[in-house]
Amino acid sequence: MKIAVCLKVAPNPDQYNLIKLDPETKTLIREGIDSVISSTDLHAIELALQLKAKFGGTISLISMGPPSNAKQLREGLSYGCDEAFLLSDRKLGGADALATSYTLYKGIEKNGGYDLVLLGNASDDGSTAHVPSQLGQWLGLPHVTDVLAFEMDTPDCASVKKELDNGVNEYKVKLPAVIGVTKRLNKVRHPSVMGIFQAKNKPLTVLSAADLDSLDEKCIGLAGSPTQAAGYRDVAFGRDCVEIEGKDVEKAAQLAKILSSYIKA
Amino acid sequence: MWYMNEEREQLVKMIKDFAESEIRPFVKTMEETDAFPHEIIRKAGELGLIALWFPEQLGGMGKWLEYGLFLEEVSKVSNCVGNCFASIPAGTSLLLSCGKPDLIGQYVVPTMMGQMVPASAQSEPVGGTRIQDFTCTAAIEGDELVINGGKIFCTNAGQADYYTVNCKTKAPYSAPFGSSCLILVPANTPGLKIGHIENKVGWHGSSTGQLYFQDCRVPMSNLMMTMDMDESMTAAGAFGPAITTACCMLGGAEGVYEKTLAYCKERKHGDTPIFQKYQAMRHTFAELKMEIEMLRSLIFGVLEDLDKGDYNISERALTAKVKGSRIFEHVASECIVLMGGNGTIVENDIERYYRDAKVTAIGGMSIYHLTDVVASQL
Repeated sequence: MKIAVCLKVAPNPDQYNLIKLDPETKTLIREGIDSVISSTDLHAIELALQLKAKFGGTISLISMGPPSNAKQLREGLSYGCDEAFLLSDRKLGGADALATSYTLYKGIEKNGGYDLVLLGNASDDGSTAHVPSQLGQWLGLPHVTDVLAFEMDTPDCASVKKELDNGVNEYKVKLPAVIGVTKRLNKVRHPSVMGIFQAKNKPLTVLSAADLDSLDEKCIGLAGSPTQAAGYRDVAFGRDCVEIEGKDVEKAAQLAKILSSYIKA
Repeated sequence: MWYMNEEREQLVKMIKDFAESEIRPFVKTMEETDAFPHEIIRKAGELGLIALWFPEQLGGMGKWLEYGLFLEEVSKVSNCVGNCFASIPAGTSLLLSCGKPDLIGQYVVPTMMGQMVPASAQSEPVGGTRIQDFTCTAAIEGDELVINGGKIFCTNAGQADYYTVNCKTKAPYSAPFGSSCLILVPANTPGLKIGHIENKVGWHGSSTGQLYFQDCRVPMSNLMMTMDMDESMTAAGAFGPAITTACCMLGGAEGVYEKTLAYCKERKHGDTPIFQKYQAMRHTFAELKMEIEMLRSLIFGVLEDLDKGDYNISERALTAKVKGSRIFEHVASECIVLMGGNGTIVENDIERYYRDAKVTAIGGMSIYHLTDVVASQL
């Protein structure tokens, strides 16, 4: 089985309190912030490893981003994946979800396609949750998002459960397909020591825009991104102390009122 | 850091994740019930973390520096668990050097994979680790060794799968036997009884206790080595355990320092974080940081030399252990004060580091003894 896992490199969520926005470009100032593999994508790697153990085959990692993302791809390889492709070019910079999904589609196409394309349903930073279904559309493949359970008895068909606001939908999906996984899907293993030391010798290929076949330059980078940040506002996090008085029932009602005011805000 | 590279950064990241997800949740149970971290050792073995320092010909990585990074990171979360891993070289290095393929295959390889826990039984009530005074004896009877006597302060007592026991050879004996011998005793050997498990000030979860041997018979093939061992030879064999425990002291000091610094940068008096408000606090933090960095330089210099095959590190390894213990205790003690009232509260998990630091001065050889060894070489 030929599996692709799309990885996004995102700012370390543990350092979100240090993140600042550039008032002009309205983008994150990444200096001093560590970059990590977006945590939901690790669950996609875990699923890929389980499927490889069951059916054999290879796992390719595909990511779009600056050359420094090679470090996170090496980390992804340390889990037991076989090869990595980094789509890196200045022309690809400033991509929104649509341009990203198009670029990933071109990278996947370049490699001759896969039986299964796995990725985190939403990234830690942008969290649009658009890329899995957009990628499925570009590839013309069945795609399921918000997947919290995945079973495969034969290598040509999967049974998946999709999380909804008010329940769960179950689907049978014929491969090839694109699956957007959630963190509820599995528990991510630790890479082994051997995996870490072997990762440096595994193939990692950097592909520029020119390397991608019949790339439509109107669909990549800033030019291919219909979504632009219009503005932003700072949210001040602070602590406040409010004393609630009265009988227990009254106090509970008042507390509920205060909490719901935060939700509406 | 001068010794870091991309692989080591990846390794440290993996160990941090391992420590936070596998060890941190277990610390409270360890503190409250003295539970031994068997499951943590097993998982670390599966991931290849214990194999980091084992020789490559056995399937290990032969990397002391990486093992040091492992001990440092684990000890940031729990100095006790760090020392459980540090005790593995103590329990197996002499077994490795005895060179007997059967014993190595049966005991060392499973230890490397986290499937067995070793213990080194040395100290006796009559004279600490002074072999000349030992009363635990091994008599040669046909193709068996018969052990009688006792050991105290044995790390991993009652939890280990096997013990490497230092005995006086009972007369009459002749060459190749020397005045003392080192014997491997499986935990289930008849005649071996586990005595009292001590209730220590720190290292809750690390089992320290007494062993009794009463006509405890093991086959001659369990004889690891025999020698005319004097005190200086014991000390020479101590550099491995000394440098590994020093790594744990470094990690412990860093763990409590980082936690306290984060608190003091957030905790406010009025509108100002106390770290900004009080110069005395900032200077104390700076002083602690300098001590930690001095210790780091010493330890990783020694580990790098070991990886290069330079074993002429005895004095520096012993220095790392002695100074490491002092620095860990000083850092933990100051951190309690820096945290103010919160530093004294058990639930805030600062005082645990101080209690653990006290044990590091004695566990795996007293710093007084090691200082004496360094003095004797001047």
